[in-house]
Amino acid sequence: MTSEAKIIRVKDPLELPNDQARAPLWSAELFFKGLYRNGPSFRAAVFLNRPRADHDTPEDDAHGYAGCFFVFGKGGCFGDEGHCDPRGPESRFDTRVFHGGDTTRSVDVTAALRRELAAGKTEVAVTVVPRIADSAGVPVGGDTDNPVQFSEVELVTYDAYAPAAQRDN
Amino acid sequence: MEGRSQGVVPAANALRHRLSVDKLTTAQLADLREAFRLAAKRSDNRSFSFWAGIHGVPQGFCQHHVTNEHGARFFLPWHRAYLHNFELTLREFVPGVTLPWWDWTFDAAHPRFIPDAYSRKTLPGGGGPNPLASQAIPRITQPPIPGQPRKTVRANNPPDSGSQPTAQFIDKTLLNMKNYFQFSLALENIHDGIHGLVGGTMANIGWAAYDPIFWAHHVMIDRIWALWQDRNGIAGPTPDMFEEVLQPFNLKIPGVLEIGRLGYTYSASRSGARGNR
Repeated sequence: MTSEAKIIRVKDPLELPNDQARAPLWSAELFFKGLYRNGPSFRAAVFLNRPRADHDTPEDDAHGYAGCFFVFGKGGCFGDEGHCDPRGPESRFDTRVFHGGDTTRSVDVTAALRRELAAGKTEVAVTVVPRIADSAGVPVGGDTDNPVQFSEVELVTYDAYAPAAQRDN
Repeated sequence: MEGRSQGVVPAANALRHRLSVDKLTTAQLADLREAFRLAAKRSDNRSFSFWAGIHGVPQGFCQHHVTNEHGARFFLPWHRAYLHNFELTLREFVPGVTLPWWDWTFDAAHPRFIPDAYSRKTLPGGGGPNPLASQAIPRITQPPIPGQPRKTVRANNPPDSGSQPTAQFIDKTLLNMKNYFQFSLALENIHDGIHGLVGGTMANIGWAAYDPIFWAHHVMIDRIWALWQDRNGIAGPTPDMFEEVLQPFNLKIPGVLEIGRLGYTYSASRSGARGNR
């Protein structure tokens, strides 16, 4: 059984692209950067302009569901104190292998964003509703109450004039 | 060779065929089980626990899950090197064995998740425990790691269309992505979802590789990368990554870009019989 975890309601809304008449939206991605992964594995449902979305909110168009992302978590640190502290090479002569904790995830929000634009919205509020994977009794460390932590959420849109590498995604 | 099933003996330089776990012959599945069973009995650097321990605990080469400005930088190349080396090790125990791929795509008409080869606890005919269902995790350190599981467990989740992508999504969307870093990030996201849906030790980077299904899951991931390379005619990683060493393996990124150079390919099934000479 998955378990509910703290819902993240991003404080500031994201501005939507204007000029849709001349250069309509082709596709859109929502990036979660600096995403914490030292805790449990989880699935996160993303809702647009549904600031009150929660674990009971249906994941469908009518309720602002935009997509989801997953994080395969480290489940805590298995070393002694300081083992998982992020650190980089001490110098250009330092060839040791380092491990950090953050990752990036993207969600294709094209359909959801088209709905918001069609409704005349000029910005979107992002709500993230996570459920933690069933650990089947295996102890899990890290921040199990609040697994969804990220440094930045970024909306990137593409129009028909974007390079094919982006436009076709 | 202990437990070796009878079959066509592969030539040393023949291309290795990685097959669908659903389409393994009885002998191929027996070989796979035997290879894992024998690896688990070893105590040296060919042991199953040695190889499982490279990923998370205790060796911690999990830097491949870290991203940079490109997104998932090492995720696909590192695991390709990992699978390649482990597969070669298994072949020391059972020549000709290959790691199969687990098709975890969601099929509404035939919903399924963990394949029978990996889920049944015991082997048919009183053959003992199934080495693909669970493996012991030895005590790693002294003092022991608090909360260390002593064997792999799974959550026994039912099929879930919210975590398993459809084959259509893989074919029509994922494989058509033209930017490698976006493709890799999207594939890693799917990969993470499967780890979470298996649950238990598979949902934890530290212990995941001790579960035998980890390897079938990652062979599927590697297969999708190979399919993407084939469809799009591009390898993926950019030249600025080419000097990166895929630690602890004796490979740099250019060495893993072509699966043919590593001596394997992806097939669905394979069967053979001895000829008359």
